[in-house]
Amino acid sequence: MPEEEGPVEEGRDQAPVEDEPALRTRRSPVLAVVYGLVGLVVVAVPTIWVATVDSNFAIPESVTADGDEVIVAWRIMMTMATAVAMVVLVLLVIAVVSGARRRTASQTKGSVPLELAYTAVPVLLVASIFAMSLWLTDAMGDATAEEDLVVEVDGFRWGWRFTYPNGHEVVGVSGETEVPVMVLPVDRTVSFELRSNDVIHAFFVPNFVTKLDVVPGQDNELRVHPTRTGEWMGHCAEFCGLDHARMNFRVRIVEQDEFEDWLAEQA
Amino acid sequence: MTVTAPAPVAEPEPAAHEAPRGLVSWITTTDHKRIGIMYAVTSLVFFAIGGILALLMRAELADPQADLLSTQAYNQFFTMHGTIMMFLFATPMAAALANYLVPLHVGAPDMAFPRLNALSYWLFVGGGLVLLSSFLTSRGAPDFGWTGYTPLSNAIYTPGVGADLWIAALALTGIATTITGINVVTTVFSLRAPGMTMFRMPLFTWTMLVQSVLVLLTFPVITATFVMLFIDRNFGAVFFDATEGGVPVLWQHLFWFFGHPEVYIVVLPFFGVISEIVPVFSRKPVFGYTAFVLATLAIAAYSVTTWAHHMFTTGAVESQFFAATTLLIAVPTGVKIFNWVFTMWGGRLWFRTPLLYAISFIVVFLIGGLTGPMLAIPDFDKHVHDTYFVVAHFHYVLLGSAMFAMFAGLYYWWPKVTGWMLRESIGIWQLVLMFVGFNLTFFPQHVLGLEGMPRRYVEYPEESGWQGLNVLSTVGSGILAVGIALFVVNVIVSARRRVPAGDDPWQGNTLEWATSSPPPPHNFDRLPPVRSERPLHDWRTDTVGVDAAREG
Repeated sequence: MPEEEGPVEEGRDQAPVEDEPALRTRRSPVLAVVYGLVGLVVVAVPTIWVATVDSNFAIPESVTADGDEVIVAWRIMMTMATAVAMVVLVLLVIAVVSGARRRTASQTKGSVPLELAYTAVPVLLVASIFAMSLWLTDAMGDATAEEDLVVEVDGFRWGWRFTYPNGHEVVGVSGETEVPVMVLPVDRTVSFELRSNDVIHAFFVPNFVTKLDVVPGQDNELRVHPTRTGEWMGHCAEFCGLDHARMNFRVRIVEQDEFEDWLAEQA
Repeated sequence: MTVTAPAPVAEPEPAAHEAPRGLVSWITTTDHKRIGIMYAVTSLVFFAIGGILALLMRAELADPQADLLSTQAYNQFFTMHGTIMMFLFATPMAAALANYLVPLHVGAPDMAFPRLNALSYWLFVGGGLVLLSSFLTSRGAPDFGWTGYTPLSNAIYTPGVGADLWIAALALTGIATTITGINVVTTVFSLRAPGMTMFRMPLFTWTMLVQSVLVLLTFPVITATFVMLFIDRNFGAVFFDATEGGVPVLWQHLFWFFGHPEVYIVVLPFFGVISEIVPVFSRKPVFGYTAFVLATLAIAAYSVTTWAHHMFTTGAVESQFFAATTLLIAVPTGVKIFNWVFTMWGGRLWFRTPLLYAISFIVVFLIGGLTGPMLAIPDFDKHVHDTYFVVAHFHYVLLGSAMFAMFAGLYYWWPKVTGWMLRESIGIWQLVLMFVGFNLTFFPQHVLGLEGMPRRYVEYPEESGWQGLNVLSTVGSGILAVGIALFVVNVIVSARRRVPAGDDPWQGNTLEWATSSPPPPHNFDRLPPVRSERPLHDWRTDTVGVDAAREG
């Protein structure tokens, strides 16, 4: 609750021995141990929970080989973020709670060892995150090293055209047609050749756990290796004008023989 | 013979303590304090306009397929919301604080170039009016996002003069910001009080100095980029036109080469505000002054190396290089958070509104800062790029930092500027509503983004299941708006009571507290000796010379 308002009055609410150097009140070692143990529990419990619970932490289920790797990396990052957040919050809470009760402020201006430590630890943390990023990029691409199927993806204002190797086209136009459905075979590497003749769009299937821009004048290629059958939503994810939010599509992943039968029928 | 005593030397007239009154005196002022106040009031008006646009967008998103707003209006609103918040609120509010405080902090009577300073303010106002005027044109305001990506922003896909007004407005405000940068750098290097070495300057002065150097380096780039777009749109150039040999992605490189340092241009002054408040309300020196300065310099230097982390999905960048540089910048930022926490550690905390807002800032910035290194990883970023995860991240670090630190600064310096105190009770209600509302608005957006909800979507599929979190976010935005509105209530209520503040209501450390509230036009009648980074503290506790002797 706030105390009186207005400026500080002489003699009240003023640290009486504020600037006496090295005047330390005797600190209770019991209190320090209690703070330490509670802090340790507050950091450890959520971190261990995040690390071990069976959850994608809001990322939808991955349906591709590469998507699985991204989720592994995401879970590692969530664990690290939880640990760091808890450490900083514990320090903040201890500082605030103990500062509320203290009558004499220490006049320390810093501590070179502590400052070096809390610079070095973040450096190590970001170095490990960078190492993980390198690992992730390396782990991805193993399953998609060789393409089995090429689908040309044309993004336009406002819809999609998917063109299969035999010339079959699936077209969807916002406001005119149904949402277009791209049929794909499971356990085969698909290469999407992304093209635009107007503005930049982006090809995004949340369950692929990746996306790539569709850029006029640039040949972008996205490869995925689906591992599960089913049907999932896709969206345009680079603002492209009026009907940007109405350029949705669907991806239907089916068994390979079902895909081949379907493709043959469309010829 | 009588010797006439020589006529006594006339005592110099004490300088006037009254500032001139009347509207004309404000319009023609070159006094940095008045310019700072005008910058602040104008920025807050633009903040309100940008905020209303946001509230309307949030209302639209509470239902998947609602049509409260036309699609055209929605697209214009998110474009103008971003442009107004970045260029007409956040950057000018930092300029407001700099204008008011930098001369006082270094012990100078005004900025180095007072008339240029006035020009800067009026260019800002003019630019803002030009930007808002785009709403009145036949095709309306620009609707391509504040980032203006080509080819969408060219004359084919965005005909109409609204986009050209946008370019003109940002050129004007860019010049205004550049002028302020020149003024701050010159003032800091040339007008410091005797005894104030660089490493005895207040930390707010350091952050403004470093930010101003960043401004001088990057605003010319974005201004040139806008000119290139203007020439593409109006004179048949093809810088960004792929059909004629131009490169669309070039825009992104140029924009983000400015755009990433720009977010540090926004945030660094607010770091400075927190660095001023936390030591005063902990009754301690700041923990690690030199580390703060080095961290500020590091953040500014690294910020110009990170830009393409906005472009990982273009397929046109060497991603791992930018992953490394982006991760590196998290280190000095983390160091600052530890410095603030350890400044409070061992202190005698005085829980007044400035400190409470500062603590909220630290929590909010911590959350936003943790999602930054996540976004630095290209193969993770490719999932969440252009989704609400990014929207959540930048609102935490930009709005969270700017807003909570701004109010911390307003509560802290209000007594100095006006001579009277704001009410603590209303301030705390405001903080509670803002903290709850802000987190309720933006935390769910992390989840929405991870689930795949793209940004800049006027509507979303019903089957997505995204409505629940959108409703939560919309409710949060309403609570946040009420909290912010309470500040206006506080000003009105406190203006009636006018509890006098005196020169130094908070027992501050820095020179602005050595003069009256409000200061006279020339700022200081006399200056205390400057022997450390806490000259007022030394003067008040009579330790002048003691610290210097200890330091040897």
